Amino acid sequence: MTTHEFIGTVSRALGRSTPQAPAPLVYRHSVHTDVMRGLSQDALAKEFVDYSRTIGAHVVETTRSQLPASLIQVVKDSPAGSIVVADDPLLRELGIVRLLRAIAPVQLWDVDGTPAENIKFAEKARIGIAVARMALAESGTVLLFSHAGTGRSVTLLPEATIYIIPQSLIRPRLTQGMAYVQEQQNDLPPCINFVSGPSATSDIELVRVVGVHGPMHVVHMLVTDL
Amino acid sequence: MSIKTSDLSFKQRMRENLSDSFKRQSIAAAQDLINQKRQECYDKLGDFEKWRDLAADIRSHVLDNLDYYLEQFVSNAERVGATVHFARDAAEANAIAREIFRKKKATKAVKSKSMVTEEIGLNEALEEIGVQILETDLGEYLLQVDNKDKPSHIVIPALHKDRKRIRGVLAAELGYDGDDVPENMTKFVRGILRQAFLSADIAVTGCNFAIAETGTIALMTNEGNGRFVTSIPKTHIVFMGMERIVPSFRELDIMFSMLARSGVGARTSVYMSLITGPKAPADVDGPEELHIIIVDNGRSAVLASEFRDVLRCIRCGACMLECPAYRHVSGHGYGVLYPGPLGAALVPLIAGYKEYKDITKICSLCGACNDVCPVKIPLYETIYQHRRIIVEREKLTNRLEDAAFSVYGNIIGHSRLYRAATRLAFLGNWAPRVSLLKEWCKSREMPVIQKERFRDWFARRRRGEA
Ligand code: SF4
Repeated sequence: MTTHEFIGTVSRALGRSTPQAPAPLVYRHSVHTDVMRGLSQDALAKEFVDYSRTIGAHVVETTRSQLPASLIQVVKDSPAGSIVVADDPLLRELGIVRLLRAIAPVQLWDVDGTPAENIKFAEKARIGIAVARMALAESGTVLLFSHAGTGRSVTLLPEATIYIIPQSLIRPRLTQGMAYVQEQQNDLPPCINFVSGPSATSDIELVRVVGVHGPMHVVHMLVTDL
Repeated sequence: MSIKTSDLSFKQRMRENLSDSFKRQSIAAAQDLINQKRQECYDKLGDFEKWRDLAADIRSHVLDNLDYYLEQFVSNAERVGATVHFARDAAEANAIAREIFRKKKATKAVKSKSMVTEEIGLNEALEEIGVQILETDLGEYLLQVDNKDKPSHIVIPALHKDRKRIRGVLAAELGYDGDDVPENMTKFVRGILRQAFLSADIAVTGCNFAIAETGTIALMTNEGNGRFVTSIPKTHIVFMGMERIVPSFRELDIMFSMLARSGVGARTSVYMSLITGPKAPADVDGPEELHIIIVDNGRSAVLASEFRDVLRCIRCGACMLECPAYRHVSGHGYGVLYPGPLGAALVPLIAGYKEYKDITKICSLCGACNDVCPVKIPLYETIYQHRRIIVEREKLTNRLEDAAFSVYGNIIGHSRLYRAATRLAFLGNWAPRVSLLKEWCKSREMPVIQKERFRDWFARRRRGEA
């Protein structure tokens, strides 16, 4: 069946022969933009931290200069094993790979490598590290462009994920997250993820169990002066 | 599966499910728990009525302009490298999928929970050509390994199973030798499915929403299977009911905010993935090919009918969790893929009055569903209208029942008085003394209308008074 035939059927169902440009969609209310309107960045950060904890993410607050030390501490507290790190400008700048190599086997997501090699390493890794594009206070959500250096597997296959979150990037809610995505719509990466805490299910007797297919442990490492 | 999920007669289904006290208890407990969570979630958000005004407006706007938005979606999806296919019905959709599997010489598939693939019976169609297709949502997987048991709810499919039963099935079918603690059983399944994800040739998903402006597919999961299937297998096939469209990310915000809250009483699902085309040259992982199969399967006829509003549905399942009839007969009582008020409103439209007239009876027209539907579908009015059509136009039932329905008709006909009327409805318990109803009641047990409306009782219970 062609596009033309299929769309034609839909047009006829709507009582016309071809599609017509719609009248603009008018929003009757502004409830979505009103949420947390006017909150300071500190107040948003507090909301984000509180709700992250509610959904089972571990929160560590740190500063840019303390970030390497905090990261080492979190890694030491996490399940021992290898680490896969997103190839991200901030992590490069901080020399994270070199730093962590002193305490564990580390591999940078290799944009020139094969899928098989990269996935194999990520699958064996216990920890994945990536940087958030934005974070949403209302739902403890991290916005991630799973693209290029931040391979999809980095934050999916290892049993723990550490997200580095610059505090200045926290916004009230999904409304702002979606606006951000919309701004880049002419150059969207093929995969964007909004991630809110550890993977979870309630499929057996509605008992919440964390860690079904994705990570069981999620750390939100908030960098207060970034 | 397909729309029909049971070969039992209506009476048999009623009897079987009403007498299954374990199932009734677990459904009731689930309803209470999730309804309470949903309520808390919306209380925290505030302005539920305004939010659902927006959601309903968006969905109506899309349906009224569906041809335009579909065309826009298709051209953008193709622009970013997806291959778009169209299927008039289940048979065409399955044929397209089979062709892709043949071309790719694929024999192993993993699937992330999708209602439309259940509707068209995809699993069976693929199994017939030798493809092994594994469900990866934990609940769906537990049903699949339990001799393809049927879901009892659209969001929480294994709602009717307890941990003992699940343990037994895992032990018998997969050699599990652990205890019946949900954490341990989940861990066991995690190990099995992880291997399946890593070795699958093709991933199959549904589509919660499709964004017209960018050709993007939005997938929501809590377990992470939606992410897995879009990261590892080389080919990704998306099945999309043709009405799943939103114009842009701006509308996705509203719709997703409602779906997460109405579906499971959470502010968000753990994951939402926005998939725009196959992987880019700069990407290492992700599918090389993305196919999107847009399915009509009766939807265009609904669009043309007086029941267009039913297509606003975002499959959140809130109406069934609020429904007192569903509470008693569970999803299995309906014997169809879409149970509860949604099912009674939708299934006769996409699959015919003749075969599915009975499910419209599983409704007391109490209206609780309307109050919670995040897109404001007039559910009970639709169900009532179906009953009238079944009697008056389709002539599928006898005249004595006409009268019975007209009792409801008089109440619903004055819908503003409805709330007051249901409060007084217990007065109707003298009905068998009136001649016409007396006749009707000879062959049927007249339902004894409770002196307290279910909804009031429910509200009291929530407050801990009952
Ligand atoms: S009819 Fe409304 S409440 Fe029921 S599943 Fe659809 S959107 Fe949800």
